Amino acid sequence: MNFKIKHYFLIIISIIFIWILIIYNKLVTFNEKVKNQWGQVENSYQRRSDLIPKIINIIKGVTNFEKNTLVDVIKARSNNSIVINNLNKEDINKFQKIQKLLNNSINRLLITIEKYPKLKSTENFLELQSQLEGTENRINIERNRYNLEVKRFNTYRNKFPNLLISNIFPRFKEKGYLKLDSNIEHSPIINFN
Amino acid sequence: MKKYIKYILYIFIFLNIISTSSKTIDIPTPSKKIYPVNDYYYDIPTPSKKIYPVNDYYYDIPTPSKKIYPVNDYYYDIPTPSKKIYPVNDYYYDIPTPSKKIYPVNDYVGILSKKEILILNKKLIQIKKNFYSEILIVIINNIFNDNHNWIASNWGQKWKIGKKGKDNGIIILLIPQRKKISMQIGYGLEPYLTDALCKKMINNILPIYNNNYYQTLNKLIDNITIILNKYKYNFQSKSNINFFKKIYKKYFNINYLILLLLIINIIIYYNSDNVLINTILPYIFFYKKNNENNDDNDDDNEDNDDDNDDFEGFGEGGHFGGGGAGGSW
Repeated sequence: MNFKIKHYFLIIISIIFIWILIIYNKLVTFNEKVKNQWGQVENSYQRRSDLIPKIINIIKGVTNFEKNTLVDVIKARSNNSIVINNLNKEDINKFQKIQKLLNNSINRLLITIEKYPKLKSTENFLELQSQLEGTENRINIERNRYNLEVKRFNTYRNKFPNLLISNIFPRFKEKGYLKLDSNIEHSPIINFN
Repeated sequence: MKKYIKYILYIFIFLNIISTSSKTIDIPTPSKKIYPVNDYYYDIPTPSKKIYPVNDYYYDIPTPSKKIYPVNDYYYDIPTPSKKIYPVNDYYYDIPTPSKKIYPVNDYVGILSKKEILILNKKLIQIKKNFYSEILIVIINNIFNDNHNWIASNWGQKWKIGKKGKDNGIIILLIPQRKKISMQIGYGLEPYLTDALCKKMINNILPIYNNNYYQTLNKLIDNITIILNKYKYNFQSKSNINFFKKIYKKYFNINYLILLLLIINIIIYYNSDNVLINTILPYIFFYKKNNENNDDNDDDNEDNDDDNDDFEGFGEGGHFGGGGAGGSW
């Protein structure tokens, strides 16, 4: 009898072990997909911050330009570089706050540029404007794909039997969403002209 | 009797005259209530039970919803909330699922005529043969509150325009109701067709006057081909993955199999003494072959789309990342 009970016990333990192994491997694949998509998001944000030296080069030619807005942009860009490893809710909120600062400062600069019609009509500036539009579209798309991947990961992670396993490992914490805060197209545009 | 025949003849002639006169000019039968101006191209609609002072028949006045919101933007349906509300709620235009064989021109509005669509299709298929890049044209009317650039690139991602690994697809989205156009470019073509260049091309075309959509699209495609021609040698695929597939489709026909069987038959004919089988069998094969050819000819007259047998349809696994530009007029 004693031998038989031990036997059954071993079988049950092995089944549980295999079950944990399968769920763990699935979690890893979902996690890698999220990380990969996060790389794309960072790439698209990086593209925007790389455009700032171009803006500065264009403005250099103009005398009597308001320097306060320019300094703000340069400051926001210098604080822009942050490495995020965990993709938690807190980290992503931090990332988004910093990006929002940069976005706002760039928008303020574009508004000040409208006071200078000579600068506005140059070919370099028009090219830069189209590039800024393109980068915003890229950011929107990559952000949306990232949110989809996070949704997939979080739903799999938070289902009942999987939750017991995913709570053991710190790397499978809930991922944060990139919220639509500073989207120009989705928010109402007011024209005073 | 002779009298009756005379009358019958008269009636017959009279009927004949009426019939011939009506054949030459189709005079419409007058309606019961004759209006002073009879414009037969326009159907005067029957009045509704509740007649409004302004009758704009291009726009259906919608029935008010139970809960009336202060702003009534009818281009955007306020969606019902799901049971589990996620923090990110992206309600976007539902991109339709692609057909099995994707043709380059997809007109969901009906602006282009059949002839124009055929000409554009032929042109774009030629471009795919020459430059190995796919250009898809999409025309829709309603996009809710979404960004047109965003929809276009998602469209390309869903339909997988372009080759796998090369990502050489281009999408031209036209929204005539909103007066918007956008051109999105796959990852592979981004270094050649930059955002600034795309913006220049679109600014050259706009604005579109008098609904000349066909001509403007033609102009855009011509402009794109000039740039594709510049970097022609970069697009050529060195290793053909579908090489065997193409050979199979091109050179394998039922007719060839029949020919092979015929040759075998001839060999048997010379080697054997059985006359009956050898006289019947080739006749059957030839008869079948002729029948098939006749059917093919009939089909060609009906549908001109089947002229290009090499065309396998767009959508071979390309990806889009939001490159390109948009404009409005």
